[in-house]
Amino acid sequence: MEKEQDRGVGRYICRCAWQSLKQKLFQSVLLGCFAALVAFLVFAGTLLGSSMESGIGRMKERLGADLMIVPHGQQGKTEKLLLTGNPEFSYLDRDLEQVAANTKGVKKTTSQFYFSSVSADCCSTRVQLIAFDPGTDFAVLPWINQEEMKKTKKGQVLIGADVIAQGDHTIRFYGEKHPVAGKLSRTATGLDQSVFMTRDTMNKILEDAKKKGFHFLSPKDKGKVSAVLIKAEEGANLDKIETSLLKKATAKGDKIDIVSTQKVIGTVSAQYEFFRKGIRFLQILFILTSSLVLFLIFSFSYRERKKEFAVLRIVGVTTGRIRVMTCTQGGMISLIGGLIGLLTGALVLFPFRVLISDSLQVPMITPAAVTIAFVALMALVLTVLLGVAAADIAIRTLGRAETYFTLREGEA
Amino acid sequence: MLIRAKNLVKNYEREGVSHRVVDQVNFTMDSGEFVIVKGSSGSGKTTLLNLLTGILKPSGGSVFFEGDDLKKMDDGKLSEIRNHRISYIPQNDTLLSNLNLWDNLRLPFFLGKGGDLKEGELNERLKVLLEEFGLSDRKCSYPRELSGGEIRRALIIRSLSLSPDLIIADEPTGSLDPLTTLTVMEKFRRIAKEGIAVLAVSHQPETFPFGDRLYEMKEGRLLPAKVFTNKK
Ligand SMILES: Nc1ncnc2c1ncn2[C@@H]1O[C@H](COP(=O)(O)OP(=O)(O)OP(=O)(O)O)[C@@H](O)[C@H]1O
Ligand SMILES: [Mg+2]
Repeated sequence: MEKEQDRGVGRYICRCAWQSLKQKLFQSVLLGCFAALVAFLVFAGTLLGSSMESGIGRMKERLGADLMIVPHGQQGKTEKLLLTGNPEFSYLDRDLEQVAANTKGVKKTTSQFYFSSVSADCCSTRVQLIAFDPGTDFAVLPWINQEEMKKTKKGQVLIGADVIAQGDHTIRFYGEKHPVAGKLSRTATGLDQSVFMTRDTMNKILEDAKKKGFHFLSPKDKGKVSAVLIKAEEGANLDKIETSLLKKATAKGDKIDIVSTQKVIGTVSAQYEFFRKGIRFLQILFILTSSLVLFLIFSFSYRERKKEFAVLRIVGVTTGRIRVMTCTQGGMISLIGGLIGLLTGALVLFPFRVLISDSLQVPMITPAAVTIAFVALMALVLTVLLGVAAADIAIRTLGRAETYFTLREGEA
Repeated sequence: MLIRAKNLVKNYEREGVSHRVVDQVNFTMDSGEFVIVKGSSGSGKTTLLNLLTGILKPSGGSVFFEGDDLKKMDDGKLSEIRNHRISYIPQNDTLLSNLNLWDNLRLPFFLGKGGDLKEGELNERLKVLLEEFGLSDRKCSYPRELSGGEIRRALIIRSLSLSPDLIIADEPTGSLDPLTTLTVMEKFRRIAKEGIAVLAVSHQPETFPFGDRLYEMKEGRLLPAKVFTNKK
């Protein structure tokens, strides 16, 4: 073996393999495309699946409330907020919180006030302002780092993971700077594009808006809230709570909807399950067809290269080494195709992450870099193995015909 | 005895009928012998050469190389023999189209076992041979850029590159001009004097006297035609 190394046999084989790939350019491009397709599907599909899975996992953890009372007709919008969007809101009477608190099976209640700002300096998109009640809150504060909580003073805000503060750790609404006390961890939901604050701060912002000529409804003025969040007692029947709340509200003359976060998660999970199955199906389908196509192209090209193999046999190259050469070729082309597939996958997946998440209505959290690298490596290894296997099976099928390697006259 | 064919038979099926293309050939060659085989087209010359190199498996009989039956050798052993013991110059162009002349000439060395040669020695030897056959300036040409005669000469160079014990050449001077034909035959004569056996198929009567023995292939049978004693 050492003597062979000295002779640079490997280098020579690679050169031969590369040369004949170059010579059959169209075939090589075709082979590369199918390899790229395999790598793309394995890479992008797997990453998409795992992004969704961790997105849903995070969402489950983060949705502290079991039920949310929202104004009638706002159910869809609230669900959208939980997922991705920036909806408009109308408002509820604040005393509904008390009504909810007195309902059997309800453990905790708190209220929130939502408001979309059109002119935050920080962001290209609108941000959602969410005022919470620090006295009763159980949905926002548990996710704030204790250190940051201590630092939080009046007028300070907390920002979602996708909101970018200015250099001096402030964020500006209607001309006024508000110090940012901390950033919340990613939820993969619309809450990542939200800014959280106390009611006082929210009132201040709404007044600033009024000075600038914007007249918004203020929670202080009218005693209104956007949503009442309900945490049920352990094992309580959520459906019962829902029915009794609806009855009480109707008696009071309020029109409300109730959002069950469990149901939202259920819908999203079903959505995810559907996509996961679809992706799996596509992956398997394309891996199988691509393998078949690779095998057919290789078989075809080997038939064409009959003369080349005959020559190799004549000069004393073993069938084993011919296999090494063809496998090297299969490996090379699938490596190149695979890399292109990965690149395409990355180019589609990362810049359009938000768009994909939005259009599928499934929250996504991009996995850690190591995970991405691992998935990429696996996809590449799988693609190269497929290429090598297709080449190997093709050459072995041909080699079985005994006279294959003999060169007949006239067969130039 | 270097190579020996014993009752060698090769049949081919054509339209369901079996044709005997090589018929009971008995033949031996020693080192340093130069044997020429003539015969009309289709008489089975190429088939016989393919049997002697082990590329084709005989339908009957055996080929012995240095006393060992080719039939009983595995692929590795046979490949090794073809690589640097018996070198074969086929009738048609067998240069690889995707490699230039220089890489083509080094093919047996790199992809086969290559014998005991070092790469430097091989390169030196090839340079001398290229010079001798007038191809020094075509090293980087691809086969499609070479003429028929140049390809023939290149194949001869390739067959000489790994100092084989036996050279089997199928019409080596087929598309060469009379002068180059003489050069090649003289070269073979000289090689034979150095102890290498040469078996060549040729149709050109002017080449016959270079050999020690002349055979004629007739409908699959190998018949002695003439013995030249003057050259020995
Ligand atoms: N693989 C094959 N299948 C069927 N018939 C074959 C096969 N190979 C050769 N033959 C036939 O065997 C006969 C001998 O062929 P061969 O190539 O040995 O002739 P040759 O003496 O070399 O002729 P030429 O001088 O034209 O090269 C021919 O009739 C040819 O058609
Ligand atoms: Mg012939």
